Amino acid sequence: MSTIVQGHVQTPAVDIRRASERFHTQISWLDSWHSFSFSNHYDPANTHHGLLLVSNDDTVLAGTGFRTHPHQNMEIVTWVLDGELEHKDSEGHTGIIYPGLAQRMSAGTGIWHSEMNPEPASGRAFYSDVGGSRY
Amino acid sequence: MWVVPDTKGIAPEYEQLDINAQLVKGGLVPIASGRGHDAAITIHQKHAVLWGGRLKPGETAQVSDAPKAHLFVARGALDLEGTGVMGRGDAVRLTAAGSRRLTADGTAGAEVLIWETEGTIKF
Repeated sequence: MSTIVQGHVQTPAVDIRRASERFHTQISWLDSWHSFSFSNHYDPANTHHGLLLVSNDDTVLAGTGFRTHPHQNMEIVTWVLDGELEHKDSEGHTGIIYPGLAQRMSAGTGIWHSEMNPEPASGRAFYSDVGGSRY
Repeated sequence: MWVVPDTKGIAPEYEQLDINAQLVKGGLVPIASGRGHDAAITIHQKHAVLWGGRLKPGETAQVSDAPKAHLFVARGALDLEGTGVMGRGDAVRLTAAGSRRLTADGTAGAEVLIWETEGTIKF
C-alpha cells in the first residue's frame, strides 16, 4: 500500500536516463519500454519519480492490443504518437485515441478496459498503459 | 502513464479531448491537469500536470521550476539547459532543479512530454 507524502525539502537533482537504460518487454504483439519498474521488471531503486509511477512507451502490433484487464485507484493517461487505439471499458465508454487526443481513465473503485490497435499498421501508443500482471 | 490519485475510492471516470488546435500553436500546452487548466483533460491529482509540446526545429520553450519533473523526449531531439542533447526515448528526472530552457533540434524538432508533480510516494 502506498501513501503520498508532501512537504519534504528536496535536494536539487538532475538525473538523466537514456532510452537504452529503460526496462524492455518484447512479446509477439507488443514492444514496450518502461521508465520505471513494471510488471516482472523490478528495481526497488527505480519505482517512481514524484507522483509518476508508470511511464511506458509501447508499440502495438496491428489488430492486437491490451485485452480487457482491471485497474484500481490510478489516474491513467494515454498519449498516442502514431496510429490509433480503440478504447472500451466496463463503464460503457468507447473511443478512438489518435495523435493529439488526450485520454484519461480514473480507475477509482475499479474498472476493466481494453486498448486495441484497430489499424492495418503497427502504432506507437506513446505512454500507453498495460495491465500490471499480464506477463 | 500512471499517476497516483489524491483521493482513493472515487467512481471510475473516462475522458478524452482533442488538443491538436492548441498543439499547433507551438510551445508547451497542458495535456492533463489536476490544477484546473483550461483545454486539458482533468486528473484526480491536484499536485500533477502533464505538459506536452510538438516543437518545431529550433523552437525553444521554458520548463517550469517544479518540485519534481519528468521530461521525456517522445520524438526528435532537444537540448535541455544544463543537461545537453537528449534523443528519442531519453528522459530526465528533475528535482527542484529550477526553470530550464529547452531547444528543439534544428532539423528534427521534438515532441516532448513533461510531468510536473509535487510530493512523493512511500511504499
